Amino acid sequence: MPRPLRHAQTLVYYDGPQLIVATDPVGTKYLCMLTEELEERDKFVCVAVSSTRLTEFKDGTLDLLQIFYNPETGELHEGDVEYSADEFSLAVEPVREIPEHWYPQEGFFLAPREDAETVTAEARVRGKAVINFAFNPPEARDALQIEVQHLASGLQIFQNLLRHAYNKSIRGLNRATRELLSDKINYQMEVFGFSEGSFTVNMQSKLSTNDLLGSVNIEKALRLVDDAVAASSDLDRAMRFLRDNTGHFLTAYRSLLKFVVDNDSPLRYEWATPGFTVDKRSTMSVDVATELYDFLVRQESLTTELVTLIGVVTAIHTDNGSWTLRSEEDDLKYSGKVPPDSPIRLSGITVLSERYQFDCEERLQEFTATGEEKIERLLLNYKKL
Amino acid sequence: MWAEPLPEDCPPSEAWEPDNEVYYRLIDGYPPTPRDFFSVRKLKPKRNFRDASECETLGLSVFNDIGTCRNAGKLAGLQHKQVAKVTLPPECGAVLQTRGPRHYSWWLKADFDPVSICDPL
Repeated sequence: MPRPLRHAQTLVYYDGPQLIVATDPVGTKYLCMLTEELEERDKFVCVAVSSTRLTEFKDGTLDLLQIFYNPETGELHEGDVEYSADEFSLAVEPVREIPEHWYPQEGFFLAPREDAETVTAEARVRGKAVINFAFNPPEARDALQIEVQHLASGLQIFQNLLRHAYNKSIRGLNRATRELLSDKINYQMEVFGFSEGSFTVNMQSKLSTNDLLGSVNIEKALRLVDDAVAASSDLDRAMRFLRDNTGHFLTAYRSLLKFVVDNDSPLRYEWATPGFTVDKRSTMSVDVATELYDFLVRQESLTTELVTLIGVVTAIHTDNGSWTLRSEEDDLKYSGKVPPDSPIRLSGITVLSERYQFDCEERLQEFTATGEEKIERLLLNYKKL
Repeated sequence: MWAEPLPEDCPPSEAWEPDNEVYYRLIDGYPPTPRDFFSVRKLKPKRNFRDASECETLGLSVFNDIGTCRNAGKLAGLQHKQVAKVTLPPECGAVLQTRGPRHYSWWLKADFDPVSICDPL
């Protein structure tokens, strides 16, 4: 009985789809290749593929001929796409053997970034930055399933990383510009879909492009994350990068590394803004993430951030050493504590009337199960202004 | 005027007139014929292309890299074709990168003869 297949992804397009990924009603993936163009229909030959084999092929490490010559199920299928159908409908049946000219020639490798759909094209269409973030934990490699926790916390961790990368990228700007750019809409992403047949999450920036060059503000954050991942290819370079980028960004980066390690899910994402001509792609293996994570865990000082707050103290609690200050810079309240062994005494501080400068050390606490964050703020020094 | 009627907003506004740029196309054989430059929409008017826009189906696929073109020629549906070089002048129409970093769509102008700039390799 013919098995109906649905088009999932075009891998090679040349005057129409030549090589596609299709799925059957129970989610089995097939690689289907156009063989002949007949009157009113196209003939395809298809082979069922596991997720692992498909990933190998998409990574450019597996010859297409091997996939068709040595099918994992021992079977090939053939079927027609009827031109008159309202949608791409391919009904296939097993076939014992196929003509020699239906096989691909030896040496067809799908080079990385050769697949037919690009993030750049998507970004142009949407007028926004687009990120495709791939999850590949063990449970997703041979079946289309992923633990809810993996998906939810992974997305939250990545969004947190973008937030801290963005804030870091605008820190050096003057106050007026920083205020203009500090709204969270500048770094927030929203999910608009999944790449079919995979757990690659398609996200777009909330903001659209803001100039004729097609740039989007979140680009600053993504470039910093790219720099972090690129540096990971060489240990010395990675250590230098980590030391040059201390603070909350590094804490958020450490969370991402921990996610990769704990879930055995290699990091893989690609992105573009409307102004790009090619996608930017970053990957990191679990082994590399493990090495960097272990280093960061041993170097707690790299993840602290020194901040100076100037404003009026609105509350102090001498019994537990806690305090609150309203910052003149952004009119927000900041709370913290005096470290347990510190000689600092809050009893000398005048509340609600005098201006103070508080020098603090901030440490980001992440709850990786939920992706939530909390800042621990310790007062190192203060003076009345 | 375009060689084939195009829908509104086709070619896309980001497409550009090529400036004697070199691309590669797979043709049926030597010598090249006008049919080698018919769009897939013209050749298959009733075909539903689920993942391609109408505008894209009215463009001609070309690659900006001969290796990629030769690689595509290893697929079963394209093995019978031959690689040809086309050097596209501004008057030939418009191009835009549409699929992958080396695939471009070329929308052909009506008064341009593509066979004249086709060099089979």
